[in-house]
Amino acid sequence: MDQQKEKKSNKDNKKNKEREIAVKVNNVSKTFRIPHKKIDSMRSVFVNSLQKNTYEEFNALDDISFDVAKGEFLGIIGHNGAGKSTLLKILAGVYNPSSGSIEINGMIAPFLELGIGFNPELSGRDNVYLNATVLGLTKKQIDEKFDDIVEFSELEKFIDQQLKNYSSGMKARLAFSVSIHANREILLMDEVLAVGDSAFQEKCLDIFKSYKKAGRTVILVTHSMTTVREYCDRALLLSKGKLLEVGDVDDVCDEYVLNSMAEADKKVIKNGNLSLKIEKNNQLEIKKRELKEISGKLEIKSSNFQQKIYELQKKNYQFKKELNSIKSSKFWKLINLYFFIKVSAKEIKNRIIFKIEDMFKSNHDFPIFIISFNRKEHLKSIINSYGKLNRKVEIIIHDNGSDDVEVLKYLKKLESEGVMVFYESKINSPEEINNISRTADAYFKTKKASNYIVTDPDIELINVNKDLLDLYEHLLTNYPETTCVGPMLTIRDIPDDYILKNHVFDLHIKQFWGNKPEEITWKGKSVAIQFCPIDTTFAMYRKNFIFKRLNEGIRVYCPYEAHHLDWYICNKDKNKKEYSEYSRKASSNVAHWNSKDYIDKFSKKEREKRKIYYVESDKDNNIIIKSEMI
Amino acid sequence: MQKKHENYKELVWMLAKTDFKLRYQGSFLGYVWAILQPLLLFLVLNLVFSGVFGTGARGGGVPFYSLQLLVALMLFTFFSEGTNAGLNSLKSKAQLVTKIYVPRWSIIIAATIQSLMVFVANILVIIAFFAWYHFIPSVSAIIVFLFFIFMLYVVILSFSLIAGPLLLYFRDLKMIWQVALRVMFYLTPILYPLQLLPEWTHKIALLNPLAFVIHFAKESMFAGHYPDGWQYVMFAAVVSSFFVFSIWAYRKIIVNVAEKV
Repeated sequence: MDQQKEKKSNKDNKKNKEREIAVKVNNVSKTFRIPHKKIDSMRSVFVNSLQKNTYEEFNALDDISFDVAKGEFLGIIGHNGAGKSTLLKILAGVYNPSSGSIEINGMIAPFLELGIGFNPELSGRDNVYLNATVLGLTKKQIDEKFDDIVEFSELEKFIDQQLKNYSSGMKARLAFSVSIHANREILLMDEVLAVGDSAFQEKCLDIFKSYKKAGRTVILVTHSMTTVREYCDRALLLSKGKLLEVGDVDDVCDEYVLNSMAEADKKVIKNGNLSLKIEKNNQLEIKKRELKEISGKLEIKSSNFQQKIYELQKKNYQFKKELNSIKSSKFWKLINLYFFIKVSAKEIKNRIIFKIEDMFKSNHDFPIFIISFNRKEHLKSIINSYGKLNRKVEIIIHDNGSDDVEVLKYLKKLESEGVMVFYESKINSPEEINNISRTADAYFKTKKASNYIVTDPDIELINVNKDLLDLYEHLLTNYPETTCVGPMLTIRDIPDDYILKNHVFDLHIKQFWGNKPEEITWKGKSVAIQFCPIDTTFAMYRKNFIFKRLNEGIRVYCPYEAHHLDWYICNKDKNKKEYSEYSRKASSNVAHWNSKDYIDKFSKKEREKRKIYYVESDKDNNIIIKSEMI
Repeated sequence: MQKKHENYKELVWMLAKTDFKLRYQGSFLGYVWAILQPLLLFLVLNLVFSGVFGTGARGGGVPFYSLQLLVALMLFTFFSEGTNAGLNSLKSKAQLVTKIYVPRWSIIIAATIQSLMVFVANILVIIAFFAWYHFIPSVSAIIVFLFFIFMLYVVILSFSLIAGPLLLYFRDLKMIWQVALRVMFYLTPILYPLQLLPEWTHKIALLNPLAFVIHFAKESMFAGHYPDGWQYVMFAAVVSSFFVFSIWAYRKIIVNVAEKV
């Protein structure tokens, strides 16, 4: 009977030369009513008879139209809840569509679930007959195919045992074997590829290929893009019950991936944590690279590009920072694939222990960039302090237009001794401070770039532990997210008679005394580090990274506290005349301590009481983090 | 729409056969075990009530009371098991409703046919008891009896077509039906002869097809008393209108039943 019919339909096939439609879906919608109060018993009908039963409507499918040609392999993809299974159930005839219609040309074998009707009490043989009958085979057909079915399932020995004695894999194999022998023209499949061991899976995939060759129509619902790309001729993307795209497999798969990115993105924006889109950031990254290439070709003087790059980097950095704040969100893992994470102090602590060995391998020159402006004694003191570090140190001086004759003489002397000195004009605004990048670029034209530390002359390192630079370099080398590293300044040393003491106090507490530091172990010693704004004190030059003074980084303190030289100098010159003299000769005319406006504005300021954190070390060099209101 | 199953007959037969097989575990002892429950009920009721209604009772009593009780009890068991099987058919075969398309009525019919098969097996017990009592019913009584079985089956099927899908909407229908069956057990002339009731209630009681079948099955076999022509017409009209109603109701209820499972 069936064979005759098949022959007939084959004849029909030949008549229609053009693409013959196996499945046609016309404007199908499916709406589920979800009542607010579930009524599923006579009792609840009776009890709730006086109330109006309200419900919500849920559009599982919304106006879906597509068709599938005979012999086509269609993949349906979409997120959970997109309506894939509902669509499949409607195609299988289990659900009736709320509106629209379906035309199906041929017999359907739905694989929504394997082994429908299987009963554990019956033998494997009886279950084959039962399942095959449910799938629409006649007894005669089953008799003919029975041996093939059992052979394919590799269960010859167990076929007369009760099904309850089968393992779940055996059951699945038997069920799959029956299903593929059902011999229907159209197959509907809902993620059935994950069945059995790998050898059996290969067998199944061979079967799929043979189906394709035999010109059967297959509709497959799956989450696996690889399966779709490998087997399907066309794909269909559903999202929230709507048909987003149908057509070329690669296009639809790409759209799906993009779609899922956008979903995550949208959610993140909803949370209010992310203002920049991921794509935008990617574009930013590309632009950054382009700009970098261009700037490499340009003259050192044309730093406009670098300025732009700096801005882009800043944006990028802000983005990363925001990203950090959503680290704990659901979609973090997804985003994490695309960006690295700014490590927390704790992570540094964990990782640093394993990285100590690497520390001793780095043996290259260690250039120190000193920003200079007048003040000869000061400069001497700094060069001295670096000379006492147990490193090969190369000193580069970046002079911001010193006009003091003594200083210029000293610089000439240093130059004759082989120290590199770069002369720049006097600076007038905070932005111009970044002209240090010209010096850095000029220097690195002849040298191989690695990680370097640049310091301000206000810091004296002469008293610090000689391992400090090792630690700095280590932090910079191993944690690309660390933009700069600096020592902790000792706030206690600000002289009482310093005009702007209160202002400086507030400023410094805000910058680096208000956050609680974290303790890490390094080379067997305890070090306290803290994320905080770092103004111009320390910055770094990194490979493939344009030098800028950056204002976010790690501060390291105790036992590595550094002294702020300005304050010492202030301390020595107590009378007011000398203050003004000092002001004229200060390293930078944009700093807080020498601007007339600043003095007018802030000298009479009362100091607010604030909580500060500070670190002390006891006799055994153990770190103690303390806090205090001052 | 789509080409669907074409061999429903085989499907129905396969489902019914499988259920029957599972019930008796394919063995004679399985059969004995399955018949034990109605048989014990019969023995107990017989012991108690044959003294009340049987020939030993004051004022004559009913001839062959035990056999009458057995026939009535078997018919009632058929009815109660058939309706229960039909009621639970879709719920117990939920996979066939939600994971594939087969006409839902084929599942319901399979369940009722399975209980018909059980009833046919139980008739063997009736025959054995008839032989024990050396009682041979007349040919016309047997024909009427077969007709009654057919009609009773139609009633069971009609009930199942409505109740099977309805159970998916109202889960407590099962409990309600158990209570209803218990009430029916006492309202139908199983334990007692219909004549025991006041004259005016007879017509009302006989409107109930179950009561009609049980009453006249007993009367025709043991008293040679058959229903009148108009009574046949009335009976057939009630059963067939219930059947037509059930098909109409089934079509209404079945549309979105898969969502309720």
